[in-house]
Amino acid sequence: MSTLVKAKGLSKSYGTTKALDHVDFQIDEGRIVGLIGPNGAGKTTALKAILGLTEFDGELDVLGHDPRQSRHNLMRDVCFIADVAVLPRWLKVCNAIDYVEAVHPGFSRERAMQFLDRTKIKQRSRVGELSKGMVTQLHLALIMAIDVKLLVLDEPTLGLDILYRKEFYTSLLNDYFDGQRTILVTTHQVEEIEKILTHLMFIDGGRVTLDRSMEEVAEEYTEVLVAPDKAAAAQALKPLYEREVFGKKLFLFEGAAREELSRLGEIHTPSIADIFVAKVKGGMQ
Amino acid sequence: MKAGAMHINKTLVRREFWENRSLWMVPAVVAGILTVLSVYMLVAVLIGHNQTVNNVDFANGAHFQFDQMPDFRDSDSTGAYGFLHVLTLGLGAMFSFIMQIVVFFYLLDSLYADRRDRSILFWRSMPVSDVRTVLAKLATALISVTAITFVVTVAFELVLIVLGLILGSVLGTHPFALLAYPGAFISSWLLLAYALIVSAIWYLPFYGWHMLASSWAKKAPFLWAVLIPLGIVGAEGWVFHSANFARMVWRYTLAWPSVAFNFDPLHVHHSLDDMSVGPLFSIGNVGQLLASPELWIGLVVAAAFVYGAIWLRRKRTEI
Repeated sequence: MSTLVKAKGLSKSYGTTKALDHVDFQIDEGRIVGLIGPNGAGKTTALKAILGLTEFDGELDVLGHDPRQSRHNLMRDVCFIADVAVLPRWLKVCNAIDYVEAVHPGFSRERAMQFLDRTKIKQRSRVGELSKGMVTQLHLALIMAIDVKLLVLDEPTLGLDILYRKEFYTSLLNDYFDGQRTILVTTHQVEEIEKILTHLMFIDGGRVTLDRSMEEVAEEYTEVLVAPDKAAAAQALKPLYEREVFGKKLFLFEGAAREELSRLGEIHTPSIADIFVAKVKGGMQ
Repeated sequence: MKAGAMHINKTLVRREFWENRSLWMVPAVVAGILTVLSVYMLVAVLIGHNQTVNNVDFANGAHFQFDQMPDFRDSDSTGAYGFLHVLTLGLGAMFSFIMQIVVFFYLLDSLYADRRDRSILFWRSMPVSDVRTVLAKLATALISVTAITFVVTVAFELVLIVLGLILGSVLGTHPFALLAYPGAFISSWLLLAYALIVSAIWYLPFYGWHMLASSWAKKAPFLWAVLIPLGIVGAEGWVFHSANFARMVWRYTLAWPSVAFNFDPLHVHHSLDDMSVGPLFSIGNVGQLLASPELWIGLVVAAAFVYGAIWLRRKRTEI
């Protein structure tokens, strides 16, 4: 298994604000990595750096390229959807296909047509005539018909209704991901991607605060629902975060032994959103 | 698959025409309207001829004298050549002027519109370098001011000539004598092509400047493109009480015909009749053009502007 993205001491400042502060991470082939963080944490900056859309300090290797130097060469192996509304209104569907077919060596017209045949999108329509969901479907059809090593999705479902959002990830997992390809995705709708991720990365205040596989996350983080009388015992084990639920206390532990915790109450694996809140808020306490 | 370099370039230029239909629609519509007007006038003249006999009163007493219709029966080839050169270059100048305006707005939008609607993120997700993107847009401008202008001019000219033949034959002059000089047609079109190509190259610094403004602006590229030169003119007038910059730009704008042809728009002292007699162009003009320092200085300035536009294109993905 090879490493596709390798960042070392990756930094980027906007004025006095440090969007990325000496960040190290790597993304290996075949992973579906969720990059999660609060607004302004540096997610988008990290993606932009990987895609050659911004300047940065430090080392960053994406498939053997320095993204600052050769964005257009990099784009043969990396594709991205930055935001749903980025296809121009004047573009006709058939022209969009012609364009990508001409400029991208990895594009397959047949695959794009397969995706589009499942939708109500007409070849002669302009993007401006399509609904927002259809524009996303078109963009997705174009991008998923390209054979690339790394696909980067920045808030791909922003502004879409639930129906399309569900479809988007189903399609991504069933039609695109084949175990070889690598996907890097950021979103605020953490619960939507929870089931499809193989790896999780938290970024907060310009730093990577968590970088684990989903199995490791499940082993490492435990949530225990504790009756009030045992709360003091739970607190003694130094939980990452605690909150009150229906008169009981819910503790989130990092790296604690599950057997010990199970004596305190009902244990289960927390959702990414819960871990995220615990990490961000726990960090502040 | 088929990622031939030429195929990519062609697709990039086609993309520009998909987005900017005005590049061919504006000249086509203008030529269409002028054709309708010409046919209308022809019909009006013919009806007027049948009803009365002689000159027809167009709007407000503009008289059209039939005996002024060119009649090439008795004249030698010089008359035909002169007539066609003036007609072709005159129409060419008109359509060229229109296309310069269309291309001005095209270039101002060329590196700005996709940043405004954020579609730049889609274009930049494709393996096309910024150098190639910017040059394809410049090429589109050059194709518009040369090839499209040429085609529209010649097409409309042929319409006028057909209408003229109809009119002449009805009125009893001998317009078909003109057709005995195919060389006059061909040479006039060659001159037109030459004039369009030279002017396109000559105006490259302006195109480069408009692209730079388009690449730079976070808002209103038109204002950047126009107000900066005006600011320089104003500042020069205020500080030095002179207008050298404005004069230089104005002279440069009008200088190419006198370099590329034996014709100086800054000192028009000969009438159209003189022009038709004197040789408008000789092969020496090409040498004179290539030896003119303005041409080369202009190209260097244009290269600097285009380089700046490419550099900014890399930096400014978002507005």
